[in-house]
Amino acid sequence: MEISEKKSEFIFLILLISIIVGLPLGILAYDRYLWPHKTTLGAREFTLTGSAQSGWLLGEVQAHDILSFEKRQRSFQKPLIEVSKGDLVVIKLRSSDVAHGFSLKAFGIYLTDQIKPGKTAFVSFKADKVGTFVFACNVFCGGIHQNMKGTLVVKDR
Amino acid sequence: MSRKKTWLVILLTFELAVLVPLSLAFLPITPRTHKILLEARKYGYSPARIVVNKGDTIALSMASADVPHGFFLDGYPLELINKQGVTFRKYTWQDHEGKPIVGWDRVSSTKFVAGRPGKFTYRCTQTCGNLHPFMTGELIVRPNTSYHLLVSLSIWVVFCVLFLIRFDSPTRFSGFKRINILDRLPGLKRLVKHRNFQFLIILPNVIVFYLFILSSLWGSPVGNRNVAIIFVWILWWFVLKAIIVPLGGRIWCMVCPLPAPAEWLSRKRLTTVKYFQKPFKRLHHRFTGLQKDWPKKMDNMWLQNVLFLVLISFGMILITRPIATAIIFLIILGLTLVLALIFRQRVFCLYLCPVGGFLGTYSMASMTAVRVIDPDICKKHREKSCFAGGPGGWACPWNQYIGKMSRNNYCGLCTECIKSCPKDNVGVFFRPFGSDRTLRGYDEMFNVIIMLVVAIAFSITMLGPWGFIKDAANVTESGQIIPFLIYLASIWTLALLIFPGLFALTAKGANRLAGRPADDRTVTLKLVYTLIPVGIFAWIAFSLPAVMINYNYILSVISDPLGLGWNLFGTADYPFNPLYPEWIPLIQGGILLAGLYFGLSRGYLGLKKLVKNPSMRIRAMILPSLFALVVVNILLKLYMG
Ligand code: SF4
Ligand code: SF4
Ligand SMILES: [Cu+2]
Repeated sequence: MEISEKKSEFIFLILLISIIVGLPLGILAYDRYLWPHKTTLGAREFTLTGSAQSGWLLGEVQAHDILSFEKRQRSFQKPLIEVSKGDLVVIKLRSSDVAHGFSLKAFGIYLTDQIKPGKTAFVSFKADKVGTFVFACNVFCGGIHQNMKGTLVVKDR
Repeated sequence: MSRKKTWLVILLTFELAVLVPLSLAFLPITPRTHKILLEARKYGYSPARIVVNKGDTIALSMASADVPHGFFLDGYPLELINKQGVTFRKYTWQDHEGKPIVGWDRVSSTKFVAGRPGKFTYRCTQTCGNLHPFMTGELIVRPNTSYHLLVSLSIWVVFCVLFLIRFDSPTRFSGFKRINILDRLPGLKRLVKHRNFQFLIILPNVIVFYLFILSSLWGSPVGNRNVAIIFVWILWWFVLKAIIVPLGGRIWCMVCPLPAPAEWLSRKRLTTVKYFQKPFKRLHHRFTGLQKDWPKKMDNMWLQNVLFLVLISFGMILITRPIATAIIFLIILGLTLVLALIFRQRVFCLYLCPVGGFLGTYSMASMTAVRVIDPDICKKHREKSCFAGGPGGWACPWNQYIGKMSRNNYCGLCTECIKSCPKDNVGVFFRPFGSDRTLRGYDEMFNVIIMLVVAIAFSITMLGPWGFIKDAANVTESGQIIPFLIYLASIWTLALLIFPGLFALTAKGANRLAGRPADDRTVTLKLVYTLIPVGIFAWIAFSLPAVMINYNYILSVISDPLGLGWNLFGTADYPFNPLYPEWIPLIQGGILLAGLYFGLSRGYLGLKKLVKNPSMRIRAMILPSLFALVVVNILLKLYMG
């Protein structure tokens, strides 16, 4: 059976559109729901991205962010993470350039493996004491390494 | 001269060419010890080159001026990492089950004997920033016999070609007769003639390039963790240069997804043909848009030449920053769409695409060509469906008339004429390397020379050990505007003034030596053909190390294209483990020699018809041969010396 010209054009058009829509959706869905590095239910999740020039940035740094000025502006303020006492906190750690590290002394967290660019590392802990704590980078990464710090605030419920 | 004698001369001179450099290796040397403090900083080492004699001992201590760096020495089992002022040396041993185990020892200085002669590159192993993959230095262990050997062999190649020219026979260098692939493979013919053929082979590329664009916008900002950088500038570039161009020429244009949306839009069709009985402006189709003709004045490659130079001026940035790749792709997509609405046919590909420029000139040498089978049939066929469009296929989208086509330059191998020709008179031919030998004008000549200069410039910038040149090219990070401008000025003047000027003088001299068989322009355009094979092979030699060293990145982005920490196929953490890196210089040298041979022999074939007198032919070839020899030796020096 010959498929009519009109029909085949239509089929290919549908194919093309489904690729254009499907590919980004597929990537998003895979990253969010299928990729097994998923965290415990009910945890407070944060993403921190290390940058040798800007220190810790809250959230992901994507390729296009290099262009935007905003991210650079943010470099002057150190990130602040606020949770309540008793929360289970999960921090997803990423790097936007070179290898970084992570330490949060107050909770005894020292990431021994480096946070390599293009990879993801996780730390999780129970926020069982109230106060203001400092987290930092524990791999010498050049740039503003000495100043690559951020604040964790644990409030009483 | 008889065949036997000819081969005897070639063999004897070959032995001479091998023995001279080999005997140099037996000069006596007394071993000594070199104390070397190697300081690493983004993106180079100092000293950038370490030169020792074979048998010398090297006592190496390492320091870093900024972030952690590594030291991986090709050909020697030595790998160091320096972080926070401490150096670690890698060691491996086998546990009782024979499994290799890797450990790191803290060391202050490492001693090793340079027992193996040649050139060995040391490379950084810690992702230390944007240009990390280009952070290298060189250890030269003298006597560098393989380098001497290749230099001597390059002279030998020139001698042999000139010698063969001197005692020319009618069939010399001519190769085999072209073969119509479609005749041999009827299955392929049916496939190519199918209306859906081109769309279906573009489709996978649409997916892949769409992924590149998505990843270069939303993926990891780190180049060697982003599929757009690794696949486009390492894998695609290598495959294009080493396989697609020499074998298939413009076959990339057949599958290129970037101009496809514009073409679909202007045709308002994805696969089928819309044929009108009555021609409109000579064509049997109606396209969307204004359908203007491209201005006659701009019907040349100058725009492409300039755009290519602009693009490579930012080459270092382009191949290390994903976002730059996104910008290039989006600009190209946008331009093709806009231009398709104004002009008719593929004007972007013909006149603007920076890659299309060299694909055109290099495809002259390629082994595949779409041509008519019998030109007489075309002469008698009044409709010329291939050019004006027919019920079976669109009018040639590249605005070529295949009935008279004799060169590959501007045929995009789109296979439309194969479908539209009602006489079944179009074939796809497999032919000897270097078959189209006439350049049309100075625009094409400049393209050839620009490509050669850029191959040399990139070899210096990207493969060389000089950190300050990398800093100049990496202006957006280093902020060194003045060095960057000097860098640009040198590339542009070398490509547009010095090399073309030197070549023009060479050709002029050659013309005079040969007793002026034709005007300078004709002879120059004939002789410049020698530089096409030389250029193709130079680019292959340039792109090869990228895959041999960095193939692990290809494997890891397959599992994690956007650098999100995925591991689709279990290869995401494939370790950095270069493939026979100590052999790279020798392989590059061999590739360059092949280019030299093909350049001279094919260039000579082009000249042959022009110069009738055999003894004049050899006189015409002497100067261009020397020019090609010098170019090849510049590259040999860079890769091996
Ligand atoms: S349609 Fe076929 S026969 Fe006619 S001119 Fe074109 S290639 Fe030749
Ligand atoms: S000559 Fe034929 S294959 Fe070449 S671009 Fe034109 S239609 Fe396509
Ligand atoms: Cu480095």
